[in-house]
Amino acid sequence: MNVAVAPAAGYPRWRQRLSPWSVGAAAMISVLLVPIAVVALSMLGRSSPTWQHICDTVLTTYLWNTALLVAGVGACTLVIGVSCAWLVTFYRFPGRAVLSWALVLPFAIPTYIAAYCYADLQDLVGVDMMNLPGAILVVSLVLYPYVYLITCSTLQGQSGRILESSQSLGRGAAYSFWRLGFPIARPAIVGGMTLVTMEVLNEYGAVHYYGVDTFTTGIFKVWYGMDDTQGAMRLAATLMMLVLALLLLERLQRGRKQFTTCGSDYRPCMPGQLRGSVSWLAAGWCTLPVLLGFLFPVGQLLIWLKQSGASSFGAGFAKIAGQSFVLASCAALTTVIVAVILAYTVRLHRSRLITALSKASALGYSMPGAVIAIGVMVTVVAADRGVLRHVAGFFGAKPGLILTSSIVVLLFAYVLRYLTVAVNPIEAGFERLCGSMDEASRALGHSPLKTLLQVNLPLAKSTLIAAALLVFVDVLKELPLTLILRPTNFETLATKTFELAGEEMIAQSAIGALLIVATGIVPILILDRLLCSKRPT
Amino acid sequence: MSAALVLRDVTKQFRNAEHAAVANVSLEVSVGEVITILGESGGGKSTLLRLIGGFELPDLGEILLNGETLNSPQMFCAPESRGISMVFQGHSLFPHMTVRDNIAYGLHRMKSSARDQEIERMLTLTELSGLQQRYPHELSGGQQQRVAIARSLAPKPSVMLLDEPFSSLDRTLATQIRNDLADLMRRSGATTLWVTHTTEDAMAISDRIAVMHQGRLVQLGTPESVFCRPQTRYVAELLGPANLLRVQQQDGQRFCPALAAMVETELPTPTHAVVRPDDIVCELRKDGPATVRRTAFQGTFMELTVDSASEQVRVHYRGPERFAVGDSVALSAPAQRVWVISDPG
Repeated sequence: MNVAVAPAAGYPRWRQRLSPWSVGAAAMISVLLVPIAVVALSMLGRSSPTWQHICDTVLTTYLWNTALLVAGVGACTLVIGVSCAWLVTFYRFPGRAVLSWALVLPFAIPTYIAAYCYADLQDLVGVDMMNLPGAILVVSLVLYPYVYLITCSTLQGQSGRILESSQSLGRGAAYSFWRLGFPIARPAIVGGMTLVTMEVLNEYGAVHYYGVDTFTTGIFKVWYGMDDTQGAMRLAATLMMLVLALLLLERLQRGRKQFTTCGSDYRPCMPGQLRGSVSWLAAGWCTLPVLLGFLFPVGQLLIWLKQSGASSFGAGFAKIAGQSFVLASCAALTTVIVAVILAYTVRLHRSRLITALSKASALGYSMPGAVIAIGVMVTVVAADRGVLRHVAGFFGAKPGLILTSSIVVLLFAYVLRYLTVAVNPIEAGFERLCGSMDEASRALGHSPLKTLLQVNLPLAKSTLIAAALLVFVDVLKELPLTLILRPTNFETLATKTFELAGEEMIAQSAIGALLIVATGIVPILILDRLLCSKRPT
Repeated sequence: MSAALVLRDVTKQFRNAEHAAVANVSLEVSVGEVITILGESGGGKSTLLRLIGGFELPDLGEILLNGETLNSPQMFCAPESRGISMVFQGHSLFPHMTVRDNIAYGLHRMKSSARDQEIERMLTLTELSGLQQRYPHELSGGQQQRVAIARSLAPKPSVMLLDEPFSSLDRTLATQIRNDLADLMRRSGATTLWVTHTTEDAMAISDRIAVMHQGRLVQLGTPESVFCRPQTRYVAELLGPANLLRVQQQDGQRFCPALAAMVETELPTPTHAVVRPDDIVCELRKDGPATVRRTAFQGTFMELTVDSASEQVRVHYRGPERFAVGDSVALSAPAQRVWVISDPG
């Protein structure tokens, strides 16, 4: 018969493990993780006198305020998120269809913008918001969608049969939810609250504006006010330990129990009809978060915009907006490229090391922006002073700080912080869309690179776009990291809004804030689609 | 015939797995031969195929193709450089390419005129000529199947691997396509390794059957030899309904109490006689040593469960007699239809 001779281009086994892919991905992640390691290692170093001073004076305040903020926001988001998710999933009442997605809208409002909008409340109704309870309320109003969304999707994923069997055993709907629906959704709810807590720890603009001293504001004070790198690093490291402990706790609470509905018994549950005043109460309860978390801030911004006009943002509004969009686009593109390489290498090699590295890359997202910024700053300055001076000296050039305060460093920090936002959907997309298609391509004689370009990427196109958009919006509204790492006099929409608010010119910042909010609605639409496609049909 | 594909002591152990997915498998496949790998799911069949395709790395052992080493503890050859093509479960057709582009995908080393000619040939061979501009989702299950085969055959691979190619089709359709496909493979002369868990498919299409159980290759032979002369209880029961009847020593000879007959064997320690239910003769006899326990009408035959020498024997009876529960009967089987094994397990 006519058999093509196998080319049989064999090579030593070690080269299979050390392919350009695995080496490249490992190198990328290692470089990305350096700043985090630098912060962690600072705990071991010598403590400065200022650090001693910080410990003696403000550390307790930082800890206490941060703890109260986390606990308060946790409790509020739990109550708002779970109650609304429960009502929307299990009952019919007026406006339910609109509210079920409108409840996600506060996602679009960054905490610092919500904080500015509520600061005026004292003038309006005589309530002083500029304190810890005020900060808790405002932050909760825009962060509860984490809990709401995740609870909704878990409750909807539960089979209606579970509740039906409970009802057939003579239990009412409310009791069934308390004993079955809520406990089954518990790990997901805790997962959502973990995300909320991370956002709270990352929070800078709102607490700074409301004058609440937390770890993040402390890092800024020590870094800029006292000019003490060591002290700021130690604060960052302490905050990092808190985050790691939190992640560990979250992992532990999930335990061994299986909480997914088993088998083919899935059937969506039929929501029960609420009647009379109860139904209006439910509608009112679910409208309140949308009203306070989205409509009020947006309304306030619109009023300000009308008062001060579009030109008040400063002459450079178009320039700053353009700059922000270009920066966010570059960050999104870089992040997606790194994420694709990482996700594809995981798929290609399925080795323990690569998988572990890909998991480790998620650390960036759980770290507060200020912690990452400090780590990146210290690393880059050291690299500039050390390595580059040698290189420059070799060529006879005058050494300067080349990397420090450059856009490249800012991009690097964004990739570190938001890599997971892109890796997760891309990994899932490759898994879901490509099945064994990339292996089929290999069996037909195409190299891994060609397979990626011809099979994986075209098939996962919409996932790639979604991932890029998610990163884009996150970068656009990012504040603490950008504040620390941006080049001098480089403004983004977020930093300019923050500055104007700080100079008591909130009204003038309205146009920038509105633009951030408007782009923030985009990922909500994407998220809704992603969640919909995950639901069993 | 010369060996195209050679496996020597190939072993693959996955992390956290109880036993090796593939344990010490050695196999020689001749050029143009069709071998089916038969076994239950989880028996290591698919892993063996993926090892040959280059998608998994063996822990130990060697895989050679036409004398060249593909895998050894020192060497590795990437899947794309092996000249082995694979048809995956569920076909894995590229949904963003037409039928024609799918088939052309593996022909990138050909000149374009030769490529067009080859595509035409494959389209004709697989009877897909009018469908070349369709996308996979616009085809029936059977047509998708044929595109997958055409795509894999087109680059003229040294070896074709097929992983449960019918698992996504319904049974009646699968039988029809199986026969078409078997003809196609024979005509193309490709050396083929075919994984299935359906005994009927394995018997119908293969030159030889390799039975795998818990990662081990337990028996290799022609369909007839594997069916009629199984080496273990597992193989006997996998290939079709079987009675495994106790064999004991009596007066220096081997005796099967359930059949009340001596059996012939050269095994030093025989344990069971394998007798297919179709091969047992059942006769009504007043003083018969066996009793009918249960009867079930099965259309073309009557299935009887008979108690004989404190063993239950299944019989497929096709005669005119109508048995009732409690009837006394006598069982026998022609000596050449009784196969003795040694399987203490």
